Amino acid sequence: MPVIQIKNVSKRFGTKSILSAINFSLNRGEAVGILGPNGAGKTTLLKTICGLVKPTDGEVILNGLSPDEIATIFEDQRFLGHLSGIKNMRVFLNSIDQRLISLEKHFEQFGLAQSKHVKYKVYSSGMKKRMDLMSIFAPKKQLFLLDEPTNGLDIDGMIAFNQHVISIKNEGKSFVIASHHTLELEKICDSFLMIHSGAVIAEMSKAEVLQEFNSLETAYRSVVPTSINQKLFQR
Amino acid sequence: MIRIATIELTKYARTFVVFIVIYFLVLTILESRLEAKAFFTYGTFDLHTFTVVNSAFITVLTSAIPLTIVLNVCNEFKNGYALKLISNGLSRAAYCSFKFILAGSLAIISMLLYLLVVSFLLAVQKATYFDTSIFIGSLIRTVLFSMFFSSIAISLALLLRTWQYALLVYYAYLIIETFLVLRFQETAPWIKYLPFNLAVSIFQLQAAPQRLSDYLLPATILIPFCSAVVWCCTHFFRKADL
Repeated sequence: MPVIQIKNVSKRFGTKSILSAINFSLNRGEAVGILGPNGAGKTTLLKTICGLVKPTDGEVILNGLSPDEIATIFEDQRFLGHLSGIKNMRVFLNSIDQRLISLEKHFEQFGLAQSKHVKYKVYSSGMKKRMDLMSIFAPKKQLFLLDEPTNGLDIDGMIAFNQHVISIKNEGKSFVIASHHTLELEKICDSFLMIHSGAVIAEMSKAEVLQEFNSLETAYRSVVPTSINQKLFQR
Repeated sequence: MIRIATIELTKYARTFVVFIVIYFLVLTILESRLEAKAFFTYGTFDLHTFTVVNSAFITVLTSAIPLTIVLNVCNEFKNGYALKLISNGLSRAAYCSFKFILAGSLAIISMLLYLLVVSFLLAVQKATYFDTSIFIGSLIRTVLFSMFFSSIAISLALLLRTWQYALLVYYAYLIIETFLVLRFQETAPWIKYLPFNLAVSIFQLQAAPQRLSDYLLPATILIPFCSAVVWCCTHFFRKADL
Protein backbone atom coordinates (compact mmCIF):
# COMPACT_ATOMS: atom_id res chain seq x y z
CA MET A 1 0.00 0.00 0.00
CA PRO A 2 1.43 3.40 -0.94
CA VAL A 3 2.43 5.78 1.86
CA ILE A 4 1.13 8.75 -0.10
CA GLN A 5 -1.21 9.02 -3.05
CA ILE A 6 -1.57 12.23 -5.00
CA LYS A 7 -4.80 12.15 -6.98
CA ASN A 8 -5.49 14.79 -9.63
CA VAL A 9 -4.00 17.56 -7.51
CA SER A 10 -4.33 21.01 -9.04
CA LYS A 11 -3.50 24.37 -7.60
CA ARG A 12 -4.37 27.79 -8.90
CA PHE A 13 -3.43 31.15 -7.42
CA GLY A 14 -6.05 33.48 -8.87
CA THR A 15 -6.10 32.74 -12.59
CA LYS A 16 -2.54 31.36 -12.63
CA SER A 17 -2.35 27.58 -12.66
CA ILE A 18 0.62 26.30 -10.65
CA LEU A 19 -0.16 22.58 -10.60
CA SER A 20 -2.48 20.77 -12.97
CA ALA A 21 -3.83 17.28 -12.37
CA ILE A 22 -0.77 15.76 -10.72
CA ASN A 23 -0.97 12.02 -10.00
CA PHE A 24 1.60 9.81 -8.34
CA SER A 25 2.05 7.48 -5.42
CA LEU A 26 4.97 6.49 -3.24
CA ASN A 27 5.56 3.20 -1.42
CA ARG A 28 7.29 2.60 1.90
CA GLY A 29 11.06 2.60 1.64
CA GLU A 30 11.04 4.36 -1.73
CA ALA A 31 12.43 7.69 -2.83
CA VAL A 32 11.09 9.72 -5.70
CA GLY A 33 13.04 12.58 -7.23
CA ILE A 34 11.22 15.59 -8.66
CA LEU A 35 12.92 17.52 -11.41
CA GLY A 36 11.87 20.53 -13.38
CA PRO A 37 12.94 24.03 -14.32
CA ASN A 38 12.53 26.99 -11.95
CA GLY A 39 8.86 27.82 -11.43
CA ALA A 40 7.69 24.39 -12.60
CA GLY A 41 5.74 23.80 -9.37
CA LYS A 42 8.09 21.44 -7.46
CA THR A 43 7.99 23.39 -4.19
CA THR A 44 4.23 23.97 -4.43
CA LEU A 45 3.74 20.23 -4.92
CA LEU A 46 5.78 19.46 -1.78
CA LYS A 47 3.92 22.16 0.16
CA THR A 48 0.63 20.67 -0.96
CA ILE A 49 1.66 17.22 0.26
CA CYS A 50 2.58 18.52 3.73
CA GLY A 51 -0.55 20.69 3.97
CA LEU A 52 0.97 24.17 3.83
CA VAL A 53 -0.86 24.77 0.55
CA LYS A 54 -4.43 23.60 0.07
CA PRO A 55 -5.10 22.02 -3.35
CA THR A 56 -7.76 23.69 -5.52
CA ASP A 57 -8.79 20.26 -6.86
CA GLY A 58 -7.85 16.68 -6.12
CA GLU A 59 -6.60 15.15 -2.92
CA VAL A 60 -3.49 14.09 -1.05
CA ILE A 61 -3.97 10.78 0.77
CA LEU A 62 -1.57 9.90 3.56
CA ASN A 63 -2.07 6.18 4.22
CA GLY A 64 -1.55 5.45 7.89
CA LEU A 65 0.66 8.47 8.36
CA SER A 66 -0.06 11.22 10.84
CA PRO A 67 1.16 14.76 10.02
CA ASP A 68 3.78 14.58 12.79
CA GLU A 69 5.45 11.68 10.98
CA ILE A 70 6.27 13.99 8.05
CA ALA A 71 9.57 15.86 7.97
CA THR A 72 10.23 18.70 5.57
CA ILE A 73 12.98 21.01 4.40
CA PHE A 74 12.15 24.10 2.36
CA GLU A 75 14.51 26.77 1.15
CA ASP A 76 12.39 29.61 2.58
CA GLN A 77 12.09 28.20 6.11
CA ARG A 78 14.64 29.20 8.70
CA PHE A 79 15.23 28.86 12.44
CA LEU A 80 15.12 31.85 14.78
CA GLY A 81 18.14 34.11 14.33
CA HIS A 82 18.31 35.39 17.91
CA LEU A 83 18.67 31.92 19.47
CA SER A 84 21.77 29.72 19.43
CA GLY A 85 21.86 26.54 17.34
CA ILE A 86 21.31 24.20 20.26
CA LYS A 87 18.57 26.34 21.84
CA ASN A 88 16.83 26.56 18.46
CA MET A 89 16.94 22.80 18.11
CA ARG A 90 15.56 22.20 21.63
CA VAL A 91 12.75 24.71 21.11
CA PHE A 92 11.90 23.33 17.67
CA LEU A 93 11.86 19.66 18.67
CA ASN A 94 9.90 20.42 21.85
CA SER A 95 7.34 22.36 19.82
CA ILE A 96 6.71 19.50 17.41
CA ASP A 97 6.89 16.98 20.25
CA GLN A 98 9.88 15.10 18.88
CA ARG A 99 12.99 13.94 20.70
CA LEU A 100 16.57 13.51 19.61
CA ILE A 101 18.21 11.16 22.09
CA SER A 102 21.40 13.15 22.40
CA LEU A 103 21.42 16.61 20.91
CA GLU A 104 25.12 17.09 21.65
CA LYS A 105 25.92 13.93 19.70
CA HIS A 106 23.84 15.11 16.75
CA PHE A 107 25.61 18.47 16.68
CA GLU A 108 28.89 16.56 16.57
CA GLN A 109 27.59 14.19 13.87
CA PHE A 110 26.55 17.11 11.67
CA GLY A 111 29.81 18.99 12.22
CA LEU A 112 28.27 21.78 14.29
CA ALA A 113 29.73 20.92 17.70
CA GLN A 114 31.97 24.01 17.73
CA SER A 115 29.16 26.40 16.87
CA LYS A 116 26.21 24.98 18.80
CA HIS A 117 26.21 27.96 21.22
CA VAL A 118 26.61 30.52 18.43
CA LYS A 119 23.54 32.51 17.38
CA TYR A 120 21.81 31.01 14.34
CA LYS A 121 21.82 34.34 12.48
CA VAL A 122 25.64 34.22 12.15
CA TYR A 123 25.65 30.67 10.73
CA SER A 124 26.76 30.30 7.11
CA SER A 125 24.21 28.97 4.60
CA GLY A 126 25.89 25.55 4.73
CA MET A 127 25.65 25.44 8.52
CA LYS A 128 22.00 26.46 8.33
CA LYS A 129 21.38 23.60 5.91
CA ARG A 130 23.09 21.18 8.31
CA MET A 131 20.76 22.41 11.07
CA ASP A 132 17.79 21.77 8.75
CA LEU A 133 18.98 18.25 8.09
CA MET A 134 19.60 17.56 11.78
CA SER A 135 16.08 18.71 12.66
CA ILE A 136 14.33 16.26 10.35
CA PHE A 137 16.15 13.08 11.31
CA ALA A 138 14.18 12.58 14.51
CA PRO A 139 13.23 8.92 15.07
CA LYS A 140 9.47 9.24 14.64
CA LYS A 141 9.57 10.60 11.07
CA GLN A 142 8.44 8.29 8.26
CA LEU A 143 8.04 10.52 5.21
CA PHE A 144 10.61 13.12 4.15
CA LEU A 145 9.71 15.96 1.79
CA LEU A 146 12.93 17.70 0.87
CA ASP A 147 13.19 20.76 -1.34
CA GLU A 148 16.75 21.36 -2.52
CA PRO A 149 18.16 19.57 0.56
CA THR A 150 21.83 19.88 -0.40
CA ASN A 151 21.95 23.47 -1.66
CA GLY A 152 24.77 25.19 0.20
CA LEU A 153 26.22 21.96 1.61
CA ASP A 154 29.91 21.25 1.11
CA ILE A 155 31.14 17.98 -0.46
CA ASP A 156 31.48 16.20 2.91
CA GLY A 157 28.00 17.29 3.83
CA MET A 158 26.55 16.03 0.55
CA ILE A 159 28.27 12.65 0.87
CA ALA A 160 27.06 12.28 4.48
CA PHE A 161 23.55 13.30 3.46
CA ASN A 162 23.42 10.72 0.65
CA GLN A 163 24.66 7.96 2.95
CA HIS A 164 22.21 8.93 5.67
CA VAL A 165 19.25 9.00 3.28
CA ILE A 166 20.13 5.60 1.80
CA SER A 167 20.52 4.03 5.25
CA ILE A 168 17.19 5.30 6.59
CA LYS A 169 15.47 4.49 3.30
CA ASN A 170 16.50 0.90 3.95
CA GLU A 171 14.67 1.14 7.30
CA GLY A 172 11.43 1.64 5.34
CA LYS A 173 11.21 5.41 5.34
CA SER A 174 10.10 7.26 2.22
CA PHE A 175 11.42 10.35 0.47
CA VAL A 176 10.19 12.92 -2.02
CA ILE A 177 13.15 15.05 -3.07
CA ALA A 178 13.01 18.08 -5.34
CA SER A 179 16.45 18.96 -6.59
CA HIS A 180 18.44 20.16 -9.57
CA HIS A 181 21.40 17.93 -8.65
CA THR A 182 20.81 15.04 -11.06
CA LEU A 183 23.85 13.02 -9.89
CA GLU A 184 22.68 13.12 -6.30
CA LEU A 185 19.10 12.17 -7.22
CA GLU A 186 20.40 9.33 -9.37
CA LYS A 187 22.21 7.86 -6.34
CA ILE A 188 19.30 8.16 -3.91
CA CYS A 189 16.03 7.84 -5.81
CA ASP A 190 14.17 4.84 -7.17
CA SER A 191 11.95 6.78 -9.56
CA PHE A 192 11.69 10.25 -11.05
CA LEU A 193 8.95 12.71 -11.82
CA MET A 194 9.65 15.43 -14.35
CA ILE A 195 7.47 18.50 -14.04
CA HIS A 196 7.04 21.35 -16.45
CA SER A 197 4.58 24.25 -16.08
CA GLY A 198 2.80 22.47 -13.23
CA ALA A 199 2.18 19.22 -15.10
CA VAL A 200 3.95 15.87 -14.92
CA ILE A 201 5.52 15.35 -18.35
CA ALA A 202 7.39 12.14 -17.56
CA GLU A 203 7.46 9.52 -14.83
CA MET A 204 10.16 6.89 -15.01
CA SER A 205 11.98 4.41 -12.82
CA LYS A 206 15.71 4.49 -12.22
CA ALA A 207 16.14 1.35 -14.38
CA GLU A 208 14.27 3.00 -17.28
CA VAL A 209 16.39 6.14 -17.00
CA LEU A 210 19.65 4.23 -17.02
CA GLN A 211 18.55 1.84 -19.78
CA GLU A 212 17.10 4.44 -22.17
CA PHE A 213 19.17 7.55 -21.48
CA ASN A 214 22.27 6.35 -19.63
CA SER A 215 22.02 9.15 -17.06
CA LEU A 216 19.37 11.26 -15.36
CA GLU A 217 20.81 14.46 -16.80
CA THR A 218 20.42 13.13 -20.36
CA ALA A 219 16.91 11.98 -19.58
CA TYR A 220 16.04 15.41 -18.21
CA ARG A 221 17.50 17.21 -21.23
CA SER A 222 15.62 14.91 -23.59
CA VAL A 223 12.27 15.19 -21.86
CA VAL A 224 12.01 18.68 -20.35
CA PRO A 225 11.86 21.63 -22.77
CA THR A 226 14.55 24.16 -22.01
CA SER A 227 13.43 27.42 -20.48
CA ILE A 228 16.70 29.20 -21.24
CA ASN A 229 17.25 30.99 -24.53
CA GLN A 230 20.59 29.36 -25.44
CA LYS A 231 21.26 31.84 -28.22
CA LEU A 232 21.62 34.66 -25.69
CA PHE A 233 24.54 32.79 -24.10
CA GLN A 234 26.40 32.15 -27.34
CA ARG A 235 29.19 34.54 -28.34
CA MET B 1 1.03 24.07 29.24
CA ILE B 2 4.03 25.26 31.28
CA ARG B 3 6.32 23.58 28.72
CA ILE B 4 4.63 25.47 25.87
CA ALA B 5 4.66 28.75 27.81
CA THR B 6 8.40 28.29 28.40
CA ILE B 7 9.00 27.60 24.70
CA GLU B 8 6.96 30.62 23.62
CA LEU B 9 8.57 32.96 26.15
CA THR B 10 12.04 31.77 25.06
CA LYS B 11 11.19 32.78 21.50
CA TYR B 12 9.49 36.00 22.63
CA ALA B 13 12.29 37.37 24.85
CA ARG B 14 14.34 39.45 22.43
CA THR B 15 16.34 42.61 22.90
CA PHE B 16 13.84 44.87 21.14
CA VAL B 17 10.99 43.42 23.23
CA VAL B 18 12.82 44.27 26.45
CA PHE B 19 13.55 47.79 25.13
CA ILE B 20 9.92 48.43 24.16
CA VAL B 21 8.56 47.17 27.48
CA ILE B 22 11.12 49.16 29.52
CA TYR B 23 10.34 52.28 27.46
CA PHE B 24 6.62 52.02 28.20
CA LEU B 25 7.27 51.25 31.89
CA VAL B 26 9.46 54.34 32.22
CA LEU B 27 6.71 56.41 30.56
CA THR B 28 4.17 54.97 33.01
CA ILE B 29 6.33 55.87 36.00
CA LEU B 30 7.08 59.38 34.70
CA GLU B 31 3.43 60.07 33.96
CA SER B 32 2.41 58.76 37.37
CA ARG B 33 5.07 60.94 39.00
CA LEU B 34 3.71 64.03 37.23
CA GLU B 35 -0.01 63.34 37.62
CA ALA B 36 -0.35 61.64 41.00
CA LYS B 37 0.03 64.84 43.00
CA ALA B 38 -2.02 63.67 46.01
CA PHE B 39 0.20 60.64 46.46
CA PHE B 40 3.46 62.56 46.15
CA THR B 41 2.17 65.34 48.47
CA TYR B 42 0.21 63.45 51.14
CA GLY B 43 1.21 59.84 50.49
CA THR B 44 -2.37 58.70 49.84
CA PHE B 45 -2.50 55.84 47.35
CA ASP B 46 -6.27 56.11 46.86
CA LEU B 47 -8.73 55.84 43.97
CA HIS B 48 -7.37 58.98 42.31
CA THR B 49 -3.77 57.71 42.41
CA PHE B 50 -4.82 54.31 41.04
CA THR B 51 -6.75 56.08 38.25
CA VAL B 52 -3.59 57.98 37.33
CA VAL B 53 -1.34 54.91 37.49
CA ASN B 54 -3.81 52.75 35.55
CA SER B 55 -4.32 55.48 32.91
CA ALA B 56 -0.57 55.52 32.37
CA PHE B 57 -0.13 51.73 32.55
CA ILE B 58 -2.90 51.05 30.00
CA THR B 59 -0.42 51.89 27.21
CA VAL B 60 1.59 48.80 28.23
CA LEU B 61 -1.52 46.66 27.69
CA THR B 62 -2.85 48.36 24.55
CA SER B 63 0.45 49.19 22.84
CA ALA B 64 3.65 47.64 24.21
CA ILE B 65 2.53 44.02 24.58
CA PRO B 66 0.40 43.87 21.36
CA LEU B 67 3.20 45.58 19.42
CA THR B 68 5.82 43.07 20.55
CA ILE B 69 3.42 40.16 19.98
CA VAL B 70 2.65 41.25 16.42
CA LEU B 71 6.34 41.75 15.63
CA ASN B 72 7.25 38.34 17.05
CA VAL B 73 4.45 36.33 15.45
CA CYS B 74 4.85 38.00 12.06
CA ASN B 75 8.60 37.50 12.23
CA GLU B 76 7.99 33.75 12.62
CA PHE B 77 6.09 33.83 9.34
CA LYS B 78 8.55 36.13 7.60
CA ASN B 79 11.58 33.89 8.21
CA GLY B 80 9.52 30.74 7.67
CA TYR B 81 9.87 29.39 11.22
CA ALA B 82 6.12 29.05 11.72
CA LEU B 83 5.86 27.21 8.41
CA LYS B 84 8.75 24.97 9.44
CA LEU B 85 6.82 23.98 12.56
CA ILE B 86 3.55 23.45 10.70
CA SER B 87 5.08 21.46 7.84
CA ASN B 88 6.96 19.29 10.33
CA GLY B 89 3.89 18.08 12.14
CA LEU B 90 2.57 20.86 14.38
CA SER B 91 -1.08 21.33 13.50
CA ARG B 92 -2.32 24.81 12.70
CA ALA B 93 -4.76 24.58 15.61
CA ALA B 94 -1.87 23.70 17.95
CA TYR B 95 0.17 26.59 16.58
CA CYS B 96 -2.72 28.97 17.34
CA SER B 97 -3.13 27.54 20.83
CA PHE B 98 0.62 28.01 21.47
CA LYS B 99 0.21 31.69 20.68
CA PHE B 100 -2.78 32.07 22.99
CA ILE B 101 -0.79 30.37 25.74
CA LEU B 102 1.84 33.05 25.06
CA ALA B 103 -0.92 35.66 25.53
CA GLY B 104 -1.80 34.05 28.87
CA SER B 105 1.84 34.06 29.97
CA LEU B 106 2.18 37.70 28.98
CA ALA B 107 -0.96 38.55 30.93
CA ILE B 108 0.73 37.19 34.07
CA ILE B 109 3.93 39.06 33.19
CA SER B 110 1.84 42.25 32.72
CA MET B 111 0.45 41.74 36.20
CA LEU B 112 4.00 41.43 37.56
CA LEU B 113 4.96 44.62 35.68
CA TYR B 114 1.99 46.43 37.23
CA LEU B 115 3.12 45.16 40.61
CA LEU B 116 6.61 46.44 39.81
CA VAL B 117 5.32 49.93 38.93
CA VAL B 118 3.24 50.20 42.11
CA SER B 119 6.13 48.82 44.21
CA PHE B 120 8.49 51.36 42.64
CA LEU B 121 6.11 54.23 43.43
CA LEU B 122 5.75 52.98 46.98
CA ALA B 123 9.53 52.73 47.26
CA VAL B 124 10.12 56.35 46.22
CA GLN B 125 7.26 57.78 48.29
CA LYS B 126 6.15 56.44 51.65
CA ALA B 127 2.40 55.81 51.59
CA THR B 128 0.21 56.98 54.46
CA TYR B 129 -2.82 55.23 52.97
CA PHE B 130 -2.99 52.34 50.52
CA ASP B 131 -6.29 51.02 49.14
CA THR B 132 -5.66 47.27 48.97
CA SER B 133 -9.04 46.38 47.46
CA ILE B 134 -8.52 48.69 44.44
CA PHE B 135 -4.99 47.34 44.11
CA ILE B 136 -6.14 43.70 43.99
CA GLY B 137 -8.94 44.64 41.58
CA SER B 138 -6.41 46.39 39.33
CA LEU B 139 -4.11 43.36 39.37
CA ILE B 140 -6.97 41.12 38.24
CA ARG B 141 -8.02 43.63 35.57
CA THR B 142 -4.41 43.76 34.31
CA VAL B 143 -4.51 40.00 33.65
CA LEU B 144 -7.96 40.11 32.01
CA PHE B 145 -7.40 43.14 29.79
CA SER B 146 -3.89 42.05 28.84
CA MET B 147 -5.45 38.78 27.64
CA PHE B 148 -8.11 40.77 25.77
CA PHE B 149 -5.72 43.05 23.87
CA SER B 150 -3.08 40.34 23.34
CA SER B 151 -5.62 37.86 21.95
CA ILE B 152 -6.81 40.43 19.42
CA ALA B 153 -3.20 41.27 18.44
CA ILE B 154 -2.35 37.57 18.04
CA SER B 155 -5.46 36.93 15.97
CA LEU B 156 -4.61 39.78 13.60
CA ALA B 157 -1.00 38.63 13.34
CA LEU B 158 -2.13 35.08 12.48
CA LEU B 159 -4.60 36.31 9.91
CA LEU B 160 -2.44 38.90 8.16
CA ARG B 161 1.05 37.45 8.87
CA THR B 162 2.73 40.72 7.87
CA TRP B 163 3.57 43.03 10.76
CA GLN B 164 2.90 46.22 8.80
CA TYR B 165 -0.67 45.17 7.95
CA ALA B 166 -1.37 43.70 11.38
CA LEU B 167 -0.21 46.83 13.20
CA LEU B 168 -2.03 49.06 10.73
CA VAL B 169 -5.33 47.26 11.32
CA TYR B 170 -4.85 47.11 15.10
CA TYR B 171 -3.90 50.76 15.57
CA ALA B 172 -6.32 52.03 12.91
CA TYR B 173 -9.17 50.35 14.81
CA LEU B 174 -7.88 51.73 18.12
CA ILE B 175 -7.62 55.26 16.71
CA ILE B 176 -10.97 55.17 14.89
CA GLU B 177 -12.73 53.96 18.02
CA THR B 178 -11.07 56.64 20.16
CA PHE B 179 -12.01 59.30 17.60
CA LEU B 180 -15.65 58.13 17.51
CA VAL B 181 -15.89 58.15 21.30
CA LEU B 182 -14.36 61.61 21.62
CA ARG B 183 -16.48 63.02 18.79
CA PHE B 184 -19.86 61.49 19.56
CA GLN B 185 -19.96 60.65 23.29
CA GLU B 186 -22.11 63.71 24.01
CA THR B 187 -24.75 63.00 21.35
CA ALA B 188 -24.63 59.19 21.42
CA PRO B 189 -23.80 57.93 24.95
CA TRP B 190 -23.91 54.27 23.82
CA ILE B 191 -20.70 54.87 21.87
CA LYS B 192 -18.66 54.54 25.06
CA TYR B 193 -19.56 50.85 25.02
CA LEU B 194 -17.38 50.23 21.96
CA PRO B 195 -15.10 47.36 23.06
CA PHE B 196 -11.64 48.95 23.19
CA ASN B 197 -12.93 52.13 24.82
CA LEU B 198 -14.97 50.14 27.32
CA ALA B 199 -11.97 47.98 28.25
CA VAL B 200 -9.71 51.03 28.62
CA SER B 201 -12.22 52.99 30.71
CA ILE B 202 -12.79 50.03 33.03
CA PHE B 203 -9.04 49.56 33.50
CA GLN B 204 -8.61 53.30 34.11
CA LEU B 205 -11.29 52.99 36.84
CA GLN B 206 -13.48 55.54 35.06
CA ALA B 207 -16.30 53.05 34.70
CA ALA B 208 -15.18 50.49 37.22
CA PRO B 209 -17.88 47.93 38.05
CA GLN B 210 -18.69 47.96 41.78
CA ARG B 211 -21.06 45.04 42.21
CA LEU B 212 -21.13 41.65 40.55
CA SER B 213 -24.07 42.66 38.38
CA ASP B 214 -22.07 45.63 37.05
CA TYR B 215 -19.72 43.16 35.36
CA LEU B 216 -22.53 41.74 33.24
CA LEU B 217 -22.72 44.46 30.57
CA PRO B 218 -18.94 44.75 29.96
CA ALA B 219 -18.71 40.95 29.88
CA THR B 220 -21.49 40.66 27.30
CA ILE B 221 -19.68 43.17 25.09
CA LEU B 222 -16.01 42.28 25.56
CA ILE B 223 -16.14 38.48 25.67
CA PRO B 224 -18.22 38.03 22.47
CA PHE B 225 -16.16 40.72 20.66
CA CYS B 226 -12.86 39.07 21.58
CA SER B 227 -14.20 35.57 20.84
CA ALA B 228 -15.51 36.69 17.44
CA VAL B 229 -12.18 38.25 16.44
CA VAL B 230 -10.25 35.17 17.64
CA TRP B 231 -12.63 32.74 15.93
CA CYS B 232 -12.66 34.59 12.59
CA CYS B 233 -8.89 35.00 12.45
CA THR B 234 -8.01 31.45 13.50
CA HIS B 235 -10.70 30.04 11.19
CA PHE B 236 -9.22 31.77 8.15
CA PHE B 237 -5.67 30.98 9.30
CA ARG B 238 -6.51 27.25 9.31
CA LYS B 239 -7.79 27.46 5.74
CA ALA B 240 -5.09 29.74 4.31
CA ASP B 241 -2.25 28.82 1.98
CA LEU B 242 0.92 29.46 3.94
